[in-house]
Amino acid sequence: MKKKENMLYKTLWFTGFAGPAAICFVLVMLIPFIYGMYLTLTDWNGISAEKVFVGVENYKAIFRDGPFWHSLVLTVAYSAVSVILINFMAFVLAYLVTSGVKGQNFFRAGFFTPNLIGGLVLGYIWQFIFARAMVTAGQNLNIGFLSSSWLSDPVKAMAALVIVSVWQNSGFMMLIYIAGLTSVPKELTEAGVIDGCGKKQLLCHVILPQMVSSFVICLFLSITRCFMTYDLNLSLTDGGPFGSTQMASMYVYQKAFVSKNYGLGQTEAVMLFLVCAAVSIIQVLIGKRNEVEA
Amino acid sequence: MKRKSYLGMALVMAAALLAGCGNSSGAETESAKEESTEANAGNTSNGGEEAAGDEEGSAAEIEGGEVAITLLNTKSELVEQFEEMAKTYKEQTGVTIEVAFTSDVVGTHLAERYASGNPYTIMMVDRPDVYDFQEYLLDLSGEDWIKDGGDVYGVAIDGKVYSFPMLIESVGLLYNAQAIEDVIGKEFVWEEYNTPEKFQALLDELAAGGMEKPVAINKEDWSLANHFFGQLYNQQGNSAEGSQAFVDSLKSGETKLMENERFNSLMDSFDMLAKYNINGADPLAADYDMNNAYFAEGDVAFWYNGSWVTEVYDKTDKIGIMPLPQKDGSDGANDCLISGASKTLVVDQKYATPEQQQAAKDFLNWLVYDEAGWSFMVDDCSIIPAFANIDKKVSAPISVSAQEFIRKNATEFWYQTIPGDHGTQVGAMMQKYFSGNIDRAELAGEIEGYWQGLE
Amino acid sequence: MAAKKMGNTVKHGILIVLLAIYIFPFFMVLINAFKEKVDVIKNPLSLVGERGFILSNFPDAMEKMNFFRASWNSLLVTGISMALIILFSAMASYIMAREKWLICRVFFTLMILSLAIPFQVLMIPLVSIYGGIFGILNHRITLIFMHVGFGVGMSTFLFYGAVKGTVPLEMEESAALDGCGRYRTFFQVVLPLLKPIVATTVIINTLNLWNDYLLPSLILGDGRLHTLPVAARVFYGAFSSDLGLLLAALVLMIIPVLVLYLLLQKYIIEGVVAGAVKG
Repeated sequence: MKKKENMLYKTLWFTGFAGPAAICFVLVMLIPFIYGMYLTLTDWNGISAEKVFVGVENYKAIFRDGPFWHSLVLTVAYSAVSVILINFMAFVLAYLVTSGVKGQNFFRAGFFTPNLIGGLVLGYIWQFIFARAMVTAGQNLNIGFLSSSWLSDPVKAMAALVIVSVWQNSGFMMLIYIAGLTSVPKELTEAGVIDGCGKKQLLCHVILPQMVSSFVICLFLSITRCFMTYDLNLSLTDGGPFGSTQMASMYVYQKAFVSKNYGLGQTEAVMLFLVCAAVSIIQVLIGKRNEVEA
Repeated sequence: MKRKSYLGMALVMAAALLAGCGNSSGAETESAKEESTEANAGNTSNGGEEAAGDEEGSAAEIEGGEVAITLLNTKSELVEQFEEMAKTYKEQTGVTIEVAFTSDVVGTHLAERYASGNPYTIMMVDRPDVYDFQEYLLDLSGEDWIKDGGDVYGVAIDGKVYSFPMLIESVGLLYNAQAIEDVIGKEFVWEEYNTPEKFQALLDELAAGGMEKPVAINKEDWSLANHFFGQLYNQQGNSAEGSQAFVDSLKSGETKLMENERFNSLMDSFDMLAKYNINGADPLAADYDMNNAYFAEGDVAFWYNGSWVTEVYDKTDKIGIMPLPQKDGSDGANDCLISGASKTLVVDQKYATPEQQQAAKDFLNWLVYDEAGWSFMVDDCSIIPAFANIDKKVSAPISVSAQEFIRKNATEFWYQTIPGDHGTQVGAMMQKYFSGNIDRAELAGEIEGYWQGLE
Repeated sequence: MAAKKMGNTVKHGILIVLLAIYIFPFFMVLINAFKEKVDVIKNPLSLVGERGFILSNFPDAMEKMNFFRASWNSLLVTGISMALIILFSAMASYIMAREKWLICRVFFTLMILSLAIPFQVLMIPLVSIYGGIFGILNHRITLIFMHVGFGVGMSTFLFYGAVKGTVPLEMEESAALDGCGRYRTFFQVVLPLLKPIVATTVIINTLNLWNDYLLPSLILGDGRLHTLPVAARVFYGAFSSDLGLLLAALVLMIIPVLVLYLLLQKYIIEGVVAGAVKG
């Protein structure tokens, strides 16, 4: 079938299919983002009607802001560990609950429930678990590393954040992996079975290659989610103990609205975006190279 | 006109697409495309403008000649009282007050509201917010209530009063007299224990008598930094000028905390409390609600907090508040209770119409000069009013206790113009000290660094 | 055969242990929703509080947060936004996955990149533009429009992978040969094949929309328009929250999403994998 692919043709079809999505996207994300970029060039305090244009001053100021870089490094470390664990757990869960075990629907619903608890309640419940339930158990059973609150030690508090983030996100990513697993064409797996593949071989050579796009998506989503962790950070540790677990999102928020330095906070948030975008795009590009075209 | 229409466009277009889906005609999609570019152009041309006043955006409108105003309440325990009050007020005056509530940080919430050109007519804010939002606020200097306490407790900037003190709150050591008396076997009178030596003896007696850890200390940064450490700024000659001069000397690096008597006196008392802290082994694992429960049930006798605590009268009413005993009793540190107007009401002048501004002023006068206003504040909300002409007594025991100090004029100035990030920054330093990660000299160094680092 | 049975038992064992860990916090929410605040604080693990098993949190919470009005608002906003997001992004992903045109690549890249934008960057600009300049806040329709704008990126991304990975080109080509137009091919051939991912995307979006606090709180100042998460904020205090009521409210809010999930689950399973595990 020959198509006449001139500009008009392309634009028409693009608009016909992607138009509504593209327009909403441009109006809600792109334009505010551009305006947000403009704000990084001002010394605005977030309140006043007056916004003085200061050029790249804020970008220079980032380099003097040591605590920001500290929070950024912390975020990268946290994200690296969390992303690996989230995806590992999510895939294992998805594989187990699609393998035909009894009551798999029930299990799926169960693993999905962490997504339903958000905000303050999430923080409250996990604070209780880390600061009280685990401590009581630790003291009674004489387990050293459990006998004091995880949330009052900088390293253990970070570990607590990772654990809750895995708990919360793996159920979500599991859904996407399930969708991926269920979309592997039946013919392929059947052919595999006929060829005498064992379960492991089936998984490694037939199913996994078909799931590259699921992996790309899940890795991407978990990277961006971890980089931008804010709610969890706020409700579980509130940056504590003594500010040691304050990650980048929370830091820039505080900078903009608590320290009333909106211009700098916004600039640092853009910086966070750049780092996060770079990491996730590299990941997508690597993933795409391995993708199997249907 | 154009402004509203573009939003419709996206939806009209969506509908057009939905309709056009079946037969894949090109006509709709073409018109949709044109509209989209138009919408884009319209938007970008406006994109650079300042968020100027937009009549439409203003939250309250005038309906049928009657004025309607909006009011932001930021105290969660008063949500119902405010809504009831709005009904009473409507019946009495015909003016509609639409009450809103937020539990977000009020400064951030208002920043969003002002960015969207959609603030409230009257807003309940914290004192530092008055400075931040000053350019949008109505000058209230000419009001009657200024002379009855507004001049003392309202926030004045360059000689103009911008805020209406909604209530007085006190910070100090809450005591559960019932729990103490159960152990020591005699009546508890706080004046008998207002030096560190006497207080320490009492703590020892309580500990020996079975209440092993008689103190609860919060780990929250606002409590440690702004309320506890804040005493350092408050107890400087018991005046705004004294506190300001002290803070200025911290900024300039002139004051060395380790050599400062007040600092050492305060930290000595902190160490004393920390030794008897019920969360002792793991002070940063403290939980506000748990502390509250310990105190209410008499598991501890003392809790460093303030007069806003309400959920403690379950077991006993014999609960009160006292100043923290310190070695350095000058400036009335051991006799005067830190008290001040914390939450304060401000009126918008940029987006509110003159009628609304007048209605807001009338409402404030109603609070101060109308019996119904008094009853709302004192009976319904149990707050200590800041105005001398209101001689109604509160009934909640902690407030009663605090009101006694105020009536005796035994109050300590509360320096509330600390920077917004004082809580998080100094809070983190106090937490490090509290959990034994740094010593007093390091704490002093870090706090000096914080003040000197301010621009 | 016996070994296989063993394998299944082990799998079951692992799943049960994991499930216990995963639903434990949820379980805590549930048991504490029936206690008074003091009992929630003092002993969150006991099944029944010292002051007894109480039901009153539920009617109290419903009254305080104006539950039915807020539910209706949430239902409207979530339902419409979700439907539009699914439709818009499924269509967008289809053209983007099938054509290598510059405009497709540009928008796809932008949409993906946008997922890495922290919301803080957009928050103030968004209200400045739509509130300060256009003055169209305080309408449900504005919120829906913004939800769609924020939601299409991720959903397009999800659909894109599925279109590329699971929809055989030959089927489309043969549909085209049968004289199907592009729209018909999409709606009658492609979309049905995307069922599992549509169901997944519906759940993910519903979850995000239903629980979203930040955007509705920015856009809807008027209390009459408040959605459930915004209305539930009334239980949050500066120092201490109304835990019993808050947990009861959370349970009430969770139920609809859980029901939806259970309903849609069968579409997710309906995929082809059943064959894969037969062997």
